[in-house]
Parts: sequence; C-alpha cells; structure tokens
Amino acid sequence: MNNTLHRLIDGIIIALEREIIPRVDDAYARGQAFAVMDLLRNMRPRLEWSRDITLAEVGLQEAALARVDELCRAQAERPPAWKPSAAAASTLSTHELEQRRDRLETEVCNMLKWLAEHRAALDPVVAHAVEATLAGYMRDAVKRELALTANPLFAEISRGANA
Amino acid sequence: MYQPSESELRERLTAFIEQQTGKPASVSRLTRYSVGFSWLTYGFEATWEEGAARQSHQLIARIGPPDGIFAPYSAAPQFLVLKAIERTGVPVPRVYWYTDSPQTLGAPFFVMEKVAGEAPLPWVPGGGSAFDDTTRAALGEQFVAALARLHSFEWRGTPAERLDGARDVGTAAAAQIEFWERYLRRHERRRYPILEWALLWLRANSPRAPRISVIHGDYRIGNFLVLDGRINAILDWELVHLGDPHQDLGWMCMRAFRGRSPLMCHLIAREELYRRYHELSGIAVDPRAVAFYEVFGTFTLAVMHVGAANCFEGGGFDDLRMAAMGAQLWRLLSQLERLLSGETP
Repeated sequence: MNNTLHRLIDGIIIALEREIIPRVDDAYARGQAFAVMDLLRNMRPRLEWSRDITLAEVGLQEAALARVDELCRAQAERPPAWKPSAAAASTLSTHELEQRRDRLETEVCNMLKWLAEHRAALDPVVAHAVEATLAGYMRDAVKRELALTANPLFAEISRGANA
Repeated sequence: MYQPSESELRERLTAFIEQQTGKPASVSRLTRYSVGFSWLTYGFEATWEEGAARQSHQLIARIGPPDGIFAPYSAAPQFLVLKAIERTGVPVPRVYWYTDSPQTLGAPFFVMEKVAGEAPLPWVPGGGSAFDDTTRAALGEQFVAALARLHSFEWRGTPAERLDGARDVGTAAAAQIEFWERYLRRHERRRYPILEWALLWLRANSPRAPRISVIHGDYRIGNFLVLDGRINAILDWELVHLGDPHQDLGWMCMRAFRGRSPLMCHLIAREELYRRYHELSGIAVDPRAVAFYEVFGTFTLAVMHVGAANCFEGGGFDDLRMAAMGAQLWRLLSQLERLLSGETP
C-alpha cells in the first residue's frame, strides 16, 4: 500500500461523514454507516500494516544488495560498500522496519544509477550479473505486491454504479 | 480540501456568467459528476438573454482544485487549444469562458458546452470486448482520424503556440522525461526502484521526433463521448502540450487501456492503427518510437499514481478515489517492469 494505514482510516471516516451519510436517505443504512465510523475509530489505534509483509520485503532487499556487493568485490570500480544493518530486521518494530525498507529502496535506486554510470568499466559478465540481480529483486518485489492487490474498481468509481 | 457548497457554486457561476455575457443570468440543476480523477466536473443549466429571448444552455464547469493531483492548475492551455482546434474536424466541445484567477471559484476553471454521449471505459468486466464489431470499426476509424487531424494541425501562429512543451524535435522526449521526473520527485514519499530503472532506460533510448505537434496527452478510451455509434467529442485535455506525435500513439497502445484485448484502446489493431494514422496524417510511424512512448506512458501513469497517493496522504485532498488509485500503483509497476525486461507489449 502506498498510504499510511491511519491516513486511510481517517479518510474513510471523513468520506462517510461528509460525502456518504448526508446523501443516504434510509435511516437504517445511515445507522449502519455510523456504526462503520464507530468501529473504524476504535480499530485505528490498534492497527498497523502487516509486519510480516514488510519483513519479507526487507529480506529481499538485503539479499539483493548483499549479492551485488559480493559480485563487485573483485572489480576496480565498486559501488558504495554494502553494510548490513547492525540490528537484525526481525528485531525491529513495524515502524522501524518500514523505515529500513524505504532506506534500502533508496540504496537499490542508487545501485541502479551506479551501474548505469560505471557499466563500461566493469567486467561485462559481472555487469550482467549485477543487472540480473537487481532486475530479479524488482520482479520478485512487484510480484509479491501484486499478489496482495485486489482488482481495481475504477469502472464503478468512474460511473458511481456497478459496472 | 477544496469543496465549495452547491449554493455557493451556483451563486458564483451566475455572477461569472453575468459578467461574461453582460446580461442577467441564472444557474440551475447543478450536478457534480464522479468522472475524472483530477479536475472537478460539474454540469449545470445556465440561462441568459440572447437577442430578444432568454436561452438555456447545458454547460459543464471544469475546476482545477488547489489540492488536486496536478495542482497548481491552469485552465488556459485547455481553453486555448480547444478554441484553436474547434474548426479542424477534431470533435471537441465548444468552450465559452475561462479564468485562472482564484477570485471567482477559488480555483482556475473553464466553462464548455455539455456534449451528449457516453464515455466507454477501458475497464471491461471479464476482460471481454468493449464494442460490437461494427461500432468498434467505426469508432476506431474516427478515433484515429481525429488524432491525425490534431497532429497535422499547424499550431504556429495560433493561440496553441502558447502551450508548454518542446519546440525542438531533438529534445521533445527529454523535455517530457524532465517534466515527469520533477513531478515524481515532488510527490514520492519513498523511492521506487522500477521508476528509477525506467528513468535511466528512457534517457538512454529517447527518439527524435518527426515533427512537433499538439499532443493531447491522455488520448485513450474513456476520454471520448459516443452517441449513436459516433464519437461526439474528445475530452480531458488537461495534459495537452507540444511534443512528439508518437507520444499519443504510445499512450493509445498501452496495456492499461486495453487489458487483455489485442486491440489498442479496444478499438483497432496495432498495424492498422499505424497504417491508417500514416495515411490520414502523412506522418510516418516509427514502431520503435511508439514502443519508447509506451514505456514512457506506463512510467508517467505510474508516477500519477504516486502523485494521487501523496495528494491524499499529505496534500489535504480527502477524495478517497486518490487513495484507491494509489493502491493500484503496483499494477502499473508490474507492467513497467515487464516492458523494461523486454517483454512484447
């Protein structure tokens, strides 16, 4: 997901309160909508994004960056040294894990840029292996996220009605 | 969040129309439409004196909200280009007035005629055909013909000359990459390696434009109105600019607008599109340039999803559709990853 959980819950409550409930004519349906708001308010302080999902993402990132570091060890041109974090990912809170995931994504981005800029100075076999490692990481990461993403309801959203 | 009340909007639109026409006016039947993820769209009936009689007009107000996905907005480009091309054979709504001043509605907006018709959407339940064969063939031909006319339009010496974009065939792609990278940097709350990979690839593979044309920027199914089997109007000109005509062709060909259909925008086979476009516009199609702009288009669509998520997260825009759009970012990143890996689009 690309929004924080708490912002999404707040946004859903705002939509119910300002956009939906005032336009619902049926009292029972309005009561149900108020109940949804009530439940969301109670769930909000108790919820966070899945720690397991973020932990798996961080695992993929660390494996890819460690592999690139290993591939480049004998090269004259080397990317900035990969230093695994002191604290094991499994010991971090969800918030700390999300911060680590974001930092590691930046490192992968920097590695892609480094490869593009230094490719000519690398052994072609190594350059290809680095590229394949980074591409493989991106493919695995996107597959994992896609498996968690429901089909969009853009047609219904655009029409304001069932497709 | 920008959200004028209906009574406030009615009152201000009335005053605006009176100012523009110099006649007493009234506004009624104000309705907000759910279409469009960027500009807010309101339909209304306006009445004012013309000659000896009061005439009613069915109109649309398109408002660029200050917290929207492409804010800060300007209504001028859309208005100017729609005015400039109204007699070129490209079916467009008649535009009446615009202002970029926030004084009237608190945001830039323009007023245009309400054109009758339905907008077919790219999302077809079950992934089937969007049209029967006869309708599809007719719409496909009109859609290509309208694009050919737009790209052949001689914009120099018209108000469209004021559009943003490239004037140089050698830098048209680079100018667009730079524009969208700036947008990405403004909105990203974390980095996305696939988007960085795409930027590197795009810079390394930019084609030279065959000419500089007016580019619609969002030319696809969903952005035209159909009435009785014919295209009545091409809509949503908010990304209009000057650039490489291959950009609109690449956008039309994107997977995002055809799903599993082999037809571009559910309308026309790729080879047929290239052939008819060339015949009608005289502009030769370079399939490699179209492929480049398919990657570019998928990149920009993904970047728009990043923007939507950010407008919702921290931009004060409470429209839940933005968050729903942001939640689909990975679908675009998956399409982009496959294109960058060399899969056939």
